[in-house]
Amino acid sequence: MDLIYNLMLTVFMGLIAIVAGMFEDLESDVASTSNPNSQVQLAPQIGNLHKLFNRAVSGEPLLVGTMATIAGVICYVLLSLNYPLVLVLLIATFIATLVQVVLSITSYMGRITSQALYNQPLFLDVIYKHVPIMAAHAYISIFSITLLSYIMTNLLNPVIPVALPVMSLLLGLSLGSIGSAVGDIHYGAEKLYQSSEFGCGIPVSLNGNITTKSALGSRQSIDVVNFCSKFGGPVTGLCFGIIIFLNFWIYLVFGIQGGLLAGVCIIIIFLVLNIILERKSRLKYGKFEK
Amino acid sequence: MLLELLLSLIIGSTLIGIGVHFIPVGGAPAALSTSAGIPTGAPMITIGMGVTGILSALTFINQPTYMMLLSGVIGSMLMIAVTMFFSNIIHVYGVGVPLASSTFEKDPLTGFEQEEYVSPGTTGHGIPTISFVSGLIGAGLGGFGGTLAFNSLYSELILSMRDIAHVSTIATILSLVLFFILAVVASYNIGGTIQGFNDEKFKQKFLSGFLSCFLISIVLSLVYILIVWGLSYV
Repeated sequence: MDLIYNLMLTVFMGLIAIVAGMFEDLESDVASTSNPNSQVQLAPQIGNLHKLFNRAVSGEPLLVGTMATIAGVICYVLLSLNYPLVLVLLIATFIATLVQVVLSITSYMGRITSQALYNQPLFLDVIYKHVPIMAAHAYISIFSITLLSYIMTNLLNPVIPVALPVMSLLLGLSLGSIGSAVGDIHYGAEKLYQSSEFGCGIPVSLNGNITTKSALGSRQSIDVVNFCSKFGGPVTGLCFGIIIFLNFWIYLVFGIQGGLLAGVCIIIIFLVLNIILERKSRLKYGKFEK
Repeated sequence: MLLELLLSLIIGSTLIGIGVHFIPVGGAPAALSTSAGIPTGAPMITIGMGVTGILSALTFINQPTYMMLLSGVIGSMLMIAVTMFFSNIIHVYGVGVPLASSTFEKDPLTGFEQEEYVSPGTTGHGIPTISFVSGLIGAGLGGFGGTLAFNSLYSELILSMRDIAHVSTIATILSLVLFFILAVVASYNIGGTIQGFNDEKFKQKFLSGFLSCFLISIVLSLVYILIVWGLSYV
């Protein structure tokens, strides 16, 4: 019975991880958190005034890790006071989201006012429109991480013996680094430079020359999240979900020693898949013409 | 016992520092397909990788030491393999570029030519096979180092504190901090982008990176010994 119970929990954890990953990446797109934000920051300096949200509180792993830890700590304290679980999760996530909202607004205002030198205006409607959407995405993402940490530290059999806030810190850091390494390419290399040709990297000479016009008026980060939710976000979610799922699944199904062997096999399978992907991409796209 | 802990910590954190040099990192330019490698900073991906290794080792807390070490290695390698593969999927299907890097002419493993597939004005995009393998080696070293530090801290603290949950929480936090510090030291040494052990830059930077990580490890380990001594005996 234990095996079936653990397997079902592992599948459920994988599903929650997919949701967490997807919404974390979309949150970073709508609030322009990670590496591509360097281009949004650079744009006014070369005369490209824009209406994109511009925020980089810190690196993505640290931001998500911090927010997850805040939620985890509040959750841990309220649970030790015997409040009901669902209420605790909702309240903890809500407070963490509030902190993130405050950081986002101050970060946006600070960054834009520092660019007044290049005549970049501060749009209040950008704050009004983007912050609720950013908060909604952050809420779902933080809620999922906190729930995931609760499952790992309380429901799995045997449980992982760490305190809930430390587990949510671990998961938040891991999720942030995956979101920054996978999903951001779709935003940075494709959506920000949609006016340049599809099918090539962005030359250094184009840096800062981002697309600021949309089909109807100025481009906003809400257009970005709409675009990235079709590919970048789900792929990030899938990546995080697979990592969480595989990390537990291999040991449940193949046992302790067999799990280690299975892990090695899965790594080799991913290496082979990568070679196939590289070969396919070369055959499909061909060489660059001089 | 404290001497054993000191040695494990020094070896573990030096291995983390060396492991960072193997990971193909592209930084912010890679998020724009301007440069090859994993599109985030070296500290960021190292922290993510180390965390997954520690998470994996935490599930092995009652197993023999070598099993725990292996599980940390596998956890880190699994994380970096899946991340690099999905990163490549977005490069190929989301941006539409073949995987290539201009820091070497030919991939020694697959024999693919690189230069002709790199977009003009960039230094590559995506993670080619040899960089992928290098990333796996780096993750293996980092995961092993992190788990070694975690395991030695855990087995020292459990003697005096007894409560498994408390001890593993403290050991997790302490070994996580090692990743934060060593990753930043190593990424300062790398200075921007690197494409794994096949890159010329790797040969230039490796020795100084190894020495600086080793020296930092000694200082850190001495501090850690003080902390552990205080937690255990005072």
